[in-house]
Amino acid sequence: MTSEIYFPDHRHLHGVMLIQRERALPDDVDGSPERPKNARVSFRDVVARGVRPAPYIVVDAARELKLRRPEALDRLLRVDQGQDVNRGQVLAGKVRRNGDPVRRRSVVAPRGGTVVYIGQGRIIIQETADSVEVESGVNGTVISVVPGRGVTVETYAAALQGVWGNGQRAIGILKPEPDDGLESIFGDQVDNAYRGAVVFTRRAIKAITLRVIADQGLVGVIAPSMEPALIDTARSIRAPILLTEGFGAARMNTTYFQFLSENTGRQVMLDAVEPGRVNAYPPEALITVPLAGSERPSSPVIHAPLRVGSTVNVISGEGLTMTGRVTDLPKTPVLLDNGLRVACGLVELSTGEIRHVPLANIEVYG
Amino acid sequence: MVFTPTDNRTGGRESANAAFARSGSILAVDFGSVYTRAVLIDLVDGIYQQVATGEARTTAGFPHNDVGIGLAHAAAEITRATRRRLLTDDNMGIISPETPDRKGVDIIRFTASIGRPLRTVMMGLVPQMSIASAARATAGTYVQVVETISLDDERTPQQQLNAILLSRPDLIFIVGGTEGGARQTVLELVTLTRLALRFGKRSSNPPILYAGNTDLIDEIKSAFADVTSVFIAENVRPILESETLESAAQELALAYDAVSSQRGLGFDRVGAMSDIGVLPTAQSYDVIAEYLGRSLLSQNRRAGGVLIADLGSSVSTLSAAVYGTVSTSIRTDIGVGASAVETLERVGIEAVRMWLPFLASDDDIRAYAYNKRLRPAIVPENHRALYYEHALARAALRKLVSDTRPAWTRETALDNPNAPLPQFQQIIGAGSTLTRTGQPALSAMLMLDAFQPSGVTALYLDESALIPALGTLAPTNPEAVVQVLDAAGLNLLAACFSVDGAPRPGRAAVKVTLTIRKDDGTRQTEQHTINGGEFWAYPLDAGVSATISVRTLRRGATLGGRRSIRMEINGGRAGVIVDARGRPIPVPLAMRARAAAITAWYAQATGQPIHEIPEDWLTEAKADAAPVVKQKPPKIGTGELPELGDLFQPEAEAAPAGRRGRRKKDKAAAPTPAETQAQQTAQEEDDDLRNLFS
Repeated sequence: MTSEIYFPDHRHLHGVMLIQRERALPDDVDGSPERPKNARVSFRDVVARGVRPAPYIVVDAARELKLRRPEALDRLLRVDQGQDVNRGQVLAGKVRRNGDPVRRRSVVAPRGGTVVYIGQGRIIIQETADSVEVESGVNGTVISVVPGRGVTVETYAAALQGVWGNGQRAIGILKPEPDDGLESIFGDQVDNAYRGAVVFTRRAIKAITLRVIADQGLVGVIAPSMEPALIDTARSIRAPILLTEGFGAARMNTTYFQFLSENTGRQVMLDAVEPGRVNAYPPEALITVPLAGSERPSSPVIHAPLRVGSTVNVISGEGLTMTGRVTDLPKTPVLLDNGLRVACGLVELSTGEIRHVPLANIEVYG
Repeated sequence: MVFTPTDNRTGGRESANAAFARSGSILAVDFGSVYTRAVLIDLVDGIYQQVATGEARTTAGFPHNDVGIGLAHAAAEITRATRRRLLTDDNMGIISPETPDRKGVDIIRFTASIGRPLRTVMMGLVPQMSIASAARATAGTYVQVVETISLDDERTPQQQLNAILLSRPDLIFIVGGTEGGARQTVLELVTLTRLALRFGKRSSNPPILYAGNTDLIDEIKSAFADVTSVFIAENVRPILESETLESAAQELALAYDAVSSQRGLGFDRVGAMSDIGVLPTAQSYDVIAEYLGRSLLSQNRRAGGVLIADLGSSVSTLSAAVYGTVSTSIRTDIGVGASAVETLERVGIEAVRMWLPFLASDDDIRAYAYNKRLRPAIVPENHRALYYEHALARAALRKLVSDTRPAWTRETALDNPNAPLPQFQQIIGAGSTLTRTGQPALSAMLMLDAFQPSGVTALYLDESALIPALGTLAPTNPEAVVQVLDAAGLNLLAACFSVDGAPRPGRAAVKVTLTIRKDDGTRQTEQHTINGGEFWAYPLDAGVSATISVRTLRRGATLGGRRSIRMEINGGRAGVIVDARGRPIPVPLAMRARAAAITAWYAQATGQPIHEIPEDWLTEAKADAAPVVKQKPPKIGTGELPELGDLFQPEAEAAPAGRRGRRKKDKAAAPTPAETQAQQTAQEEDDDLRNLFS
């Protein structure tokens, strides 16, 4: 891999563009799409639904009823194969007038489910399966359907991608934090100015920030960073939290903050998905932007190699990022201060500093 | 595994040439979770050689979600280097077979270590026999055994059925019965499996791999004919006293390919370019470790073993050939990128901290691991990040070794986890963590710190993923394997001489005499005395020959049990190394002493000045570390906030409204197609159920 043609990672930070998002059931769930191609969907619409496998229960009815021959069960049955049953429902035996089971002379369903087999004096029930639903997460149009898996939804929006989310999703109006920080709005009185808002802050999230998010009923928060010790607490909060930089105490990249500030007051769909080890799908904020009548923004360019002049996001090892512009792409590896010799790009940072940055630490906005 | 190591490498080349027909040019590509590496192998003057390599970022993740794009980038890099066109006009495929004007290649091979491992249910008769053999057969594949069902299983058939169903396997591996042996008990397992698959209500059932009593093959095929696909392998335990694993391992690789291609990420399209699909990378390590181990043994019966360590971003593999036995261990929870957090959980924070030359809080170390998971490819830009990266790598490798070594030397390992490893004559590092350190000397130091070998060891790096390529070629093109390795396919890092025992720091421990043969025929002799606690690296250029004599000066300090060694060596990319730190390496516990020792080792390895650790790094956590919130917040209603746990408990229990993949009980769920089908075949299943539960 050389700096001559290097294809860097991409991170969306774009005024408005065509966005296509696949919404699929988890790997371990079978199901089906719920919306056809070309259907309009809104943020909360369920676009795919499936079930997880449920365990089977074997009820030895003949033995419980003390029948001499298993075949004798047939005349005592109160359910049919394929029938849904509730927990406590009489499966076989005698019942009182009010329908209650007669003790020791009837067998009941230990759990709710479906009778899948009757025979040999036994009744087999499959428990009711867990249903899994996948929401659209964006207001848009279904452009393709994958049988058994889900759909792809298309929309136009301004987009900002972060690096971590707490697994929640919400829609609200984008607002900046108060001048004194998010922590300044705790107390008895709920500050209505922030109720229902997706608030962005340029400071790292602290324990007290999480309390404020829960207490004040914020719809969501976009923040630069957070200590890893707060991860479990953040996951337990219903409001989505999106981190733009990473873990630690880094402040928000000025470019991100400026982008969010420019979109203040607009509706934002905050999909704070938590990236997995495999198929990392970044959390993102999609902001509804008014379009001119005939305006049809294009898809982001994701196949372009790094070039001199590219506007880039430079990452340091401590979760800090900074915007810059590539001024040169040396053809040979560069010796860094720490003794490493790696392929680098020469980047002029937003602070005016010019320095060599390893290619692997460069992301392209697009 | 069908090729045979030879006593003499030149002789081996000749015999191999005679024995196997030539196939022409080969493109082998390995998809790692961060990098995609391609290697072009072709006949040059009648001999297979590595012609060029290409590397690009893997594009399995967002926004591409297609490994084929990274493949095209890597292939294009080879084209730029060789002017040989490999890609089709639409850049979506590789030209094959090779055209008369030398476009494309004749053979394409793919390996991958991306993605989650195959969730596998293992079924057999006796845990210590057939199931143990099956477990060994999975050594080269990314398998996670999620359930094991055997005759020793005390669960009821109902519980076993539910265990299969609820574990959601990608593969069911059935073994059991020696040849001509048990039938009925194996068929009962088959009945159970068939029921589980029928009731599973999945759009595609997991494939079955059968490697048991071959008398039952027809019945197995028939049982699953309308349910799922079946892979058949030779019986892993044909008789009680022996096992046959190769056939099962190969079928496992094919099953891995079949499952991978269904997972998306472009593997279906990429796999179709090769006649054998996409194979697991780890299988190649197993194959090549065996080959190298046998080669060494055939040259010298007292030769040491071979260790191949691939420390990846999300998966790590350790293959060892020790005393003629090969064992491969795959850890999907150890890696220094996407798996950094899991690695930290496995090794513990102290195992990382002991290699850091500065004070770091638990939160600092955790934050590093979490950030590394978010951006696995990031390169350390400053000293602090470099130390974190290397500390985690050392801890991960040491964990990999300590968990694996009981398979090599049971008694020693159980007696003392710090006891020296078996004598490894070759240690090969792979994976970007070891191969992309930016300096060969750092790669060598990391490997020595992690493995702490004793005596004489040749350290190699597999920078261009040659081993994954050669492993896939071994069954069909063994001559290519022999010839490419013969042509110095792996990069020699250094010949290392490691001192056992506890040499006293600051006192002369080793005397080295080095006689270098120069191009003009003259000889240059140098003598060096190395103190205990030092890491000495001499910049002997790659390919330059020398005679080295190493003699320990203190009692109790040996070189793998010998006081002196004299031998011919070749220079490597990191020169030649004498490690006089002793075994185990005495990393100081005191902060300042540790900072001094570690920074000195870095300087001694690289030849650069010692990096002075800033005073504030040694006295307190760095300024940007976790700020401690000392403010006591007020509780609600009284001007103060409640405890965190009180506040979030009710919400944690409530179903989150916006959660992706929200669940709910759906009592009115309509029968699925699988249920309908189950009812249609009720009579057949009734028989199965009757047999199972009666």
